[in-house]
Formats: sequence, structure tokens, C-alpha cells
Amino acid sequence: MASAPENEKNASAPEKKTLTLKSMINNEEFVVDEHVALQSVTIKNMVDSDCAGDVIPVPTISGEILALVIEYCKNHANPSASEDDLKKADAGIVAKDIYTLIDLVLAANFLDIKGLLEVTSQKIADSIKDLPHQDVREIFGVENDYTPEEEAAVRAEHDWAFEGFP
Amino acid sequence: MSTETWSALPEEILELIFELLTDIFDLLRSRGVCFSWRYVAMNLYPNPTTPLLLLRVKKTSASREYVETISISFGTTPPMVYRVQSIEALSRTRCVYSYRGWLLMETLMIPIALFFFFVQPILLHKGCICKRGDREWRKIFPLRTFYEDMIYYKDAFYAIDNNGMVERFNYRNCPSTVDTVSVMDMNIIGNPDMYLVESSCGELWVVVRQVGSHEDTRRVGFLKTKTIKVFKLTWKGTEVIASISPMICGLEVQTRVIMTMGIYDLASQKIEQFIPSPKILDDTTIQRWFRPGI
Repeated sequence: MASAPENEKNASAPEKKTLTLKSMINNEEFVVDEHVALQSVTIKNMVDSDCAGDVIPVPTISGEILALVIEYCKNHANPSASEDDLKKADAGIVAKDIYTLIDLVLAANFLDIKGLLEVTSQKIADSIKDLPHQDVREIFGVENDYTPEEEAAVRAEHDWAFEGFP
Repeated sequence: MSTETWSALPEEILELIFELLTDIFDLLRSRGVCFSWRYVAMNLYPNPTTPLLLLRVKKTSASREYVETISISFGTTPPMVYRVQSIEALSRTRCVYSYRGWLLMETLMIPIALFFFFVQPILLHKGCICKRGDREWRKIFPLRTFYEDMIYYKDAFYAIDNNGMVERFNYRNCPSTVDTVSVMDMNIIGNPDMYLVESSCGELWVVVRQVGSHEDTRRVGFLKTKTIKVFKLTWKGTEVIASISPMICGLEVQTRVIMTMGIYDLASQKIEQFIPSPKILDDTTIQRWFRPGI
């Protein structure tokens, strides 16, 4: 976040080609350096096949999430960033509530950004840890499609894994 | 705030997340969430199969001892080393699976804990055993390749490999001495399954099960028991004198049922399919996961 103004300065440098990404959810627009945006395989494919106009519309991703995605891409497009810096920056990006993480993982999947997909998935996996499955269901808004009997049968398959859980 | 819900996650993302779970407990509990979660979790991690583990004893200080186990991987990943403190915790258990730092131990109802493993012939391997009440593991040297079956019978271990070689390990000596006898002069063709069993009359038997493919084309890929041959194994004293009786019985198996387990009745010479009920399994084996100390 702190590096955003500096990057915007770079973005407006005349010799650099930029792309405009537009969230179709709230019409927010982001101007980013092309090499930053091209970390998304989806965008790269669009640019390579000349499908990209001046403004690239991004469906189903909100401006809030798109900002996070761009932050990630900027960090990873910086050649002088050390491995440690990137790790810290990644940790900052995924230090969000579960709903944001879910949106973020969907965005990373849609835009095909492997690294972001991995760190977000890891964070989600960490947040499942030691949770009762009922809590997981509630937090992630999953509909329980088991009958009580079916659920009991699934539990019985690996009873020991549910030991000490409600 | 997005209206997307978790259940709308594509399967490939769910799979990726499950792959990153470090704890088998979490992965298995996630099966309880809903059908699609269960489906993905089961595809990723089916039920435990053959163990690939190697164990050896190490003594560190006077007060501490631990077992080191190595799971052999056949792919590109290097073998994992686990350290398990307190041998007592593992006595009367057998490792049936290892997964992400966990060992699945099976509690045995026979008074012996046995660790052995199937490894590729090129790998160096060692094994160890311990009886209930033992304070330390006993090494078995040298373990050969691919044991089909092992049995603890009258103070000794017997192991049979897929070539029909029977080895006897003296349990009293440590490291144990090994005697070997080949039982291949039994007119066995192909690559049968070998079992060592203690008969109800207290004899040691070698049971050879010949399997073949199923004639029923709908069951292609399944194996069917074709013949079962039973031999008596006599081993005299400490000398390597072993004899194989003429075949006690042999039979062609007529059943069209695919059998994984069967009970053979000597008197009627018939095999009945044995399907262990969950109750029986509960009574004979208790599986629990054991997180090794580091």
C-alpha cells in the first residue's frame, strides 16, 4: 500500500506502456504498467491476441480486490525486491478476512496468476486448521447437503479425525 | 462485499487448498462439510494403502530413546524421516501409513508389534520388531525383498517372500540370526500369493494362492482366486533343516465371487467368502494417528 504513490508515478512515465483495468462490479479503473499486468496469464493472452482495447474490463472482480491483485503484481514485477521482501509483502496482502481471501483466490484463478493463487490458497488452508467442520461450513457459507444420517456416516469413516470435535 | 460463497469455488481451487493442508485431521474433517468437499478430498487422498516405512532403533541418552522411521517414496521426493519418542507409545502397533508427518499406527491384537515394509529391491532396508513388554526394538537382519507374509510362531519370526523363500528369525538373539529355506519345489507356477498361517492344530503352514484374471468380462481387471495349496512347514531345532510336506490339500476354486478373504474348511474342502464386518474390524484393529515428535 505504502508503495502505491511511487508506482503510480512510474505508471505515468511516458516511455512506459500502460494498461487500464476496469472492475465491472463498481467501474473502478486502474492504470498499471503493462509488464505488471502481464503477470496475469489471462491478460497476457488478451494482449497477445490483440483482444485488449484501451480499457480491459474485468468481470466479477471488485475494485477492492483488483487493487490487491495489482499490489501483488507490482511487488512481483519489481526486479530489486528480495525474496524476503516479497514474502513479507505477500503476507501483508493475504492478511485479510476470509471473505476477502475467497474473492482474492477467485480473482487469482480468473486472472491466472499462479503465485497469488498459491499464497491465497495457503492462507485459506491455514485458516481451516483445527476448525470443526460445522464452523468451516458456516464461515465459508457452504450449504450442508447431507442428511443427518449421511453426515454421521461420513464422520464414522474417519471417526478419529473428528475426536474432540462437536 | 461479494456475494460469492465458498461452495461456488471451482473444484480445482478447492483441491489446491486441500493439498496445502498440513494436517490429515483437517483434510478428513473437511469431508464432513458437504458432498462436493468430500468428493474433492477423497479424490485427493483416498483411504490409506500399503505402508512404505522403514524403522530403526536409536538410543540417544540414557533417559531418551526414539525410533526413527523413514518413509520411502518412489517418486522424486526424498525419503521423509520421522522421529518418534517413547517406544511404549508404539508397542503393539504397526505402521500402516505415513502422511505429511503423521504415522498411522494400527494396534495389533496379537502380542507383538511388527514393523516391516515392502521396498524396491535396490533399496537398503532394515527392520525391527518388538514384543509387548520389550524395552527395546530388535533388529532383523537382513531383510530381503518383498515379503509376502510374516508370522510369529513359537518364539521365532517366519517370513515368506514372493519367490517362496522362507526365512526364520530367532527372536531371542539380537540381532537375530536368520535361517533360510526355499519352498519353491512345490510345483508352483506364476506369481502366487504366499501366506504363513498357524493352523488350529498348531502347525505352521504355507498357503499358496494362485490368482488369475476374472473370466467375467464385466469384472476385467479384477483378480480371482484359482487354486489354493497348503503345505506344512517343519523346522527342526536350530539347524536349518526344513521340510515341506507333500501338499496337504489343494483345490480349484469354483466360485465366481471375487474374494479378498476366505475361510477354508479342511473337512468340506470349501472356501467361504469372509467379509469382515465393521464390528470385527473394530475388535481387532484400532487405528490412530500419531504425530511424531521432532
